[in-house]
Amino acid sequence: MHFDDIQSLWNKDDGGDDMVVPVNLEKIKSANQPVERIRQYVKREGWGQLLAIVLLGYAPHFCKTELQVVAYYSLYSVMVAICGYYLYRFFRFYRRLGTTALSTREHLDEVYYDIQLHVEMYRSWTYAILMLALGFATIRLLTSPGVVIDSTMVIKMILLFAVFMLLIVVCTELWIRYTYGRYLKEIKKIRGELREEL
Amino acid sequence: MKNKEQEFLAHIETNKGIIHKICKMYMDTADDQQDLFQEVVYQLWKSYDSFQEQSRFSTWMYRVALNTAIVFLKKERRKVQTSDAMPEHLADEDHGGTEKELQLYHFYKAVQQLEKLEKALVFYHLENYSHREIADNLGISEVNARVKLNRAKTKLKELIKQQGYAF
Repeated sequence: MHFDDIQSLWNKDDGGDDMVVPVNLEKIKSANQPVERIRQYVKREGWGQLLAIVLLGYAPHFCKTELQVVAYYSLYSVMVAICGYYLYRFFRFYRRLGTTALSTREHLDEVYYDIQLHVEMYRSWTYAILMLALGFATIRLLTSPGVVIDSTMVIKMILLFAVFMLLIVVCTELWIRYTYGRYLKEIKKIRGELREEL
Repeated sequence: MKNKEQEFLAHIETNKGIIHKICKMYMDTADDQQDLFQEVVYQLWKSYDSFQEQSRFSTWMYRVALNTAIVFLKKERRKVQTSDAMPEHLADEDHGGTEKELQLYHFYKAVQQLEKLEKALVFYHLENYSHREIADNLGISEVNARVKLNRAKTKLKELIKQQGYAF
């Protein structure tokens, strides 16, 4: 077989009429691009995070003393400020992804690095919130009526915090892998194919 | 806006055969091919403004369509029992299966097994692009394009041979 045979076959193939050109472009949506799937996650999470911030505003019902309520709202306002910054960045990222055109290889590189940067921001944001949560948990434990602070209590707290932190880290990493990691891997593979040495 | 949309759809209608070929190269089932076709049209429409400066619609379309196909993800469908067997109408010439259809069937079946970049190289080659143009479109060096294309062609021939078919 010669490649010329394929060439002539190719030239004769008119493509057929199997594919339907959409009549209304407003109705078609992208759903099978890594970029679009990531956008969907960012959007869903953004709304989820906003809802969580609002709900957390009612959490002081669980505080046992006045001091705990004050401490909670102090940390809550710091959290709102941090979340405000990060959510704004995430929103910008979401908008940027929406305007990405895949007309050159450079666009693929841009998208890849943008997603990577987003993942790092997502991590740093999660861990910043985690630290605030641990700070509040410490205040709550130490200021609860009738709590005796001795070495056993301190050891228990350290162990509890270590387990909690570990759990959050594992969950975050798994979530990142599920939402962004697999698509990043896909794009990385394609970039690798393009860059492959001779 | 409506005029722009109509103009775009007219371009698509004229060039849909090319998109069709890309879809058949990249996807093996009719459903996935239709999904990819829609995705390509979506991406083309999304970046249609960037085309205005280009000289030819088809040149720009090739690039966007192929890049879309390269990063396209299959829909996660429920597993359906599939068979490697040839469609009935192709197996039996008396029922309409022509030699040309049979050759195309084997060609696309083999192409679908190539790597994503190899498919793009073969596509550009069959569309009579020079090595320089292929390299420019895919963002790789000309030497790299030449070597990779030769490898892809050899692999393609081998894959067709493995299907027990020669033409």
